[in-house]
Amino acid sequence: MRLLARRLGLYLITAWVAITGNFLLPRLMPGNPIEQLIAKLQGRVTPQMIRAIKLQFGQGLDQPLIVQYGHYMNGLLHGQLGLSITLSEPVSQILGGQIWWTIGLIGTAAVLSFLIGTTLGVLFGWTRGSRLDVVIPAATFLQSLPYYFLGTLLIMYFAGHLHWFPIMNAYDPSLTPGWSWSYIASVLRYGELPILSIVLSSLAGWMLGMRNMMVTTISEDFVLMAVAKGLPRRKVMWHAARNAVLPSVANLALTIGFLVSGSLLVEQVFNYPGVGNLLVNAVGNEDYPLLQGIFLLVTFTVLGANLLADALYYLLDPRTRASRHEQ
Amino acid sequence: MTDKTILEVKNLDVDYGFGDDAVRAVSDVSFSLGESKVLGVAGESGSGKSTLVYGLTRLLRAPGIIVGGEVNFRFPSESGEQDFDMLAASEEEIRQIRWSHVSIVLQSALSALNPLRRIGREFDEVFRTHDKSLSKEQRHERAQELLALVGLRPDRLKRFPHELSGGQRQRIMIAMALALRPELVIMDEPTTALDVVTQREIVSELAELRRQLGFAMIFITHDLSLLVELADDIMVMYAGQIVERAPAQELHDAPRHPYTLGLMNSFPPLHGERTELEGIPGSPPDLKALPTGCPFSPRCTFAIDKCHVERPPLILESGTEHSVACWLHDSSFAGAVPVELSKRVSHKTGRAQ
Amino acid sequence: MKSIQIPKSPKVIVGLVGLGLFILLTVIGPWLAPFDPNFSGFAPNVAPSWHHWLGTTGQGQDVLSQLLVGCRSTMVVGFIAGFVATIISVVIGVASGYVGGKTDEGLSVLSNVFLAIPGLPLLIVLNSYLPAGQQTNPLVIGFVIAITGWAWGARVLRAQTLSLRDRDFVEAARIIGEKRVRIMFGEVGPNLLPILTSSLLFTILYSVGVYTTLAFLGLTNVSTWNWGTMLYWAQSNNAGLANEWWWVGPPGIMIALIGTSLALINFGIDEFINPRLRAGGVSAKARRKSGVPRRPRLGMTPVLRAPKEIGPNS
Repeated sequence: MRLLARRLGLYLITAWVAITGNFLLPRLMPGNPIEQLIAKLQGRVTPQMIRAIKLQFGQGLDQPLIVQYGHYMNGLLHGQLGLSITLSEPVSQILGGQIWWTIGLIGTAAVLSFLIGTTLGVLFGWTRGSRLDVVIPAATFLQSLPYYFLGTLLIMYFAGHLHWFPIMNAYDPSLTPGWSWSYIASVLRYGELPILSIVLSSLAGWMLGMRNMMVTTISEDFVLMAVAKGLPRRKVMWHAARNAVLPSVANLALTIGFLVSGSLLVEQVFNYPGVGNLLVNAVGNEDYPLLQGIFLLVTFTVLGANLLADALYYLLDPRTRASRHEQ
Repeated sequence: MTDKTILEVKNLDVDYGFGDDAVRAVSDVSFSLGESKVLGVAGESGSGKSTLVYGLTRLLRAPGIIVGGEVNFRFPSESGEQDFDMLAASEEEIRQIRWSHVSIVLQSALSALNPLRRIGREFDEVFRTHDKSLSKEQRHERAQELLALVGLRPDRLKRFPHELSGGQRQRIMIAMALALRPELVIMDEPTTALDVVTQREIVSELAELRRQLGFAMIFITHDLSLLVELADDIMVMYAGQIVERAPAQELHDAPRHPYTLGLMNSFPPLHGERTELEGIPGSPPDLKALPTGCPFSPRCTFAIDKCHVERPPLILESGTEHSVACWLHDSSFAGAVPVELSKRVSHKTGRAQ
Repeated sequence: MKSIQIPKSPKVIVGLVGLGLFILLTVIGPWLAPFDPNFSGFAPNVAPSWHHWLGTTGQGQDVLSQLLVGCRSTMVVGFIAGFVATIISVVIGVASGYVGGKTDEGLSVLSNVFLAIPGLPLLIVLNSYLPAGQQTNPLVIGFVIAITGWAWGARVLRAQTLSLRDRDFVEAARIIGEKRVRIMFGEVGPNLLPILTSSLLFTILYSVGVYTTLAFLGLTNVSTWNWGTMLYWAQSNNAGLANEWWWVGPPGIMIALIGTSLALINFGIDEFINPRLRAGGVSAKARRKSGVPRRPRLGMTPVLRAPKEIGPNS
């Protein structure tokens, strides 16, 4: 339990760093942040924009930094992430609308990729030395393909050429969003290719890592013992796999970070709604409140996912739990 | 004690690697093991003792290959006795005899037990695999009985391996090895990782268990003194070859091979007076580049010229059960056998050599 | 000090050759390019032909020239960022692992924080805070990439340093009274080489990937040619939908190839560090000829009743 508490502590610290960084960085820029921003926007400001900027930074600009920080933290705790400069809506509202697309896409893809990848890794690790080993260089190449490239290729061939999948968007543009069956079916249908592309590009990583762990685990004594006990081959493989999968679960946390980064690209390539699109647009428009809001959101999500993965590892490996009966 | 043989090994050769890269790890080893007998196998690391037993149970990992010889088990069955050719058997046949007739205890219980599973489940699995007729309660009962055999409380079944001490883990390994009442239990340095006191405890527990249950044992170690109490016969190996074999007490009292002498002098006795320890000069042999003649000759303080030229065969001293592979004891040797290697054993009448 | 052996497995050789080719291309690429990549006077969207080996873009530019010229920017930024990040991770990781105590705790927290914050969003955000002129400067971008990419290497190096610190030869140096810095660089350092190289390659891989991704998203200077920028323009012109494979394909494949080369070298190093992963060094043909099964089956040690060798001792 102590281990888990330490991880939680770490994540809280990280969250705090992210929040504080968000607060400090714009203020570290020389000069008045408001004027700075307006200067950056180079005269494209409208009265609403100025209002948004002032709300973001203007409150109590003449007050000491600590007080401003207090205001900022207070606002955060109430779920206020500021007002978007370009869209003139509260950032939290904008994000709330889009985030489910991202979670749905990334979540499904991550789970599928992990399951398929580790299973394949077990098989390839177990059959090591056989002809199947040619898959290793192939998988390496697959993993090196930039995600957006793979996505584009898939669209080009499977959607554009073979017409097996729709080309872009999250659902049929002619439908209106709602809880209708046709809408849901459309969402699922349009989600197939994006999810497939994410799974394909991240699969190799899981597979290769798992294969290595499998090979290392098989050389351990307890696997030899399982054979010596006369267990059928399948069972021996299962025992080895169960032990070998642990480091992959530990790595799950890390890869979630990468997957979230990758989601930015999915949305670009497939014209899928979500947080990624918002981020890129925000950067282009220098919509700082939105930018900061997205960054914080993404960071918290990743940290949350990390915590879940850590908890899962803690459950799976009894060695992490110190027993009262320990000698 | 009956004189039934349960294991017969003839001219076994085991290599690591093949073709030009092959290294002979076990060379021309033959022995037989009787029912309920204990055979001790002693030697340094790299002497081939582990390779021998893993080879004869076909548990040797790659790149090990068995390149010659025969390994035959003889197990009692309903129809009398059943001969089992280990090297020719199919995978399924071997799987049948594993653990039910031949089991194994490894050196480090911590790495031999699955760290993610409770002890109870390991026992349960062994029963489930080999005896489908038992119910869950029966399996649990059997497991508890086995733990009681080695002096452990039944609540240990609920523990994970890392929650137990080294001695407890090793006892659990022994209990598990006896689960199906095999005819033969092979122990690969089972006490090496333990402290000296626990070592002695476990060895005497093993002797008692054997008296009770009547299984045969092959006990591998580099500590000869452990074997003297436990084993019936001791086989000393060097560079993959047997250099001496004799009944335990006789080997201890009257070692014939210089290497055996060296081994015995390397270990301090737990009782008795404190003498100066002598190691064996030189370093263990490089199996890839064995010297001509006797493999021990470079380190042997008694070596004669012939030792460096021709490899001595393993010869049985007539009228005894004592074999040794050393030119000093061969009839061709004209000189006097060194005093240390020619002690007489009091309860045997031997002819002067 | 043990000699450094370069593993001879085919994977490593392929990887090294690949890397070598890319380095060569970095140097002579622009020189080899048949046209100015910016020149947009050619007929647009032309498929590969004798005149344009890789066809032309939607703006009427030569794809091959862009590809060759783009190599330099991609590789240079990627490599520099990778090296800088590795230097940071060495300093932090080794110091953390060797010195221990409060220093270790503090630096570990720092590493873990950077590791946990997702890289690309952080990168984007950091970049956007820079003054407008600096935002697309490749060197600055490289630097920012380095800041976000050092954490993983630091963690790995720290773990390795920890395991090396308590080894006998380090203890001996300490007893003799060698200065801490000297021990760190003279004794621990050389033994870190394999892991360090692996970490360096990974970080370069990461940097190349991130840099091209940023370019793809249009966040770098879109008039400097690199492979990511090419894909940016391709995407903006919907080249994928128009099935212009000659425009979309080559840059992506180049990125994949450099990635694969680096990864293969890494595999070789992995096998070197962890001998269990090695294939055993014998060719499949030799195995088959001698009758040994190619795939070792656990629990079924192979039996070959070959005639006993006649040696000098039989």
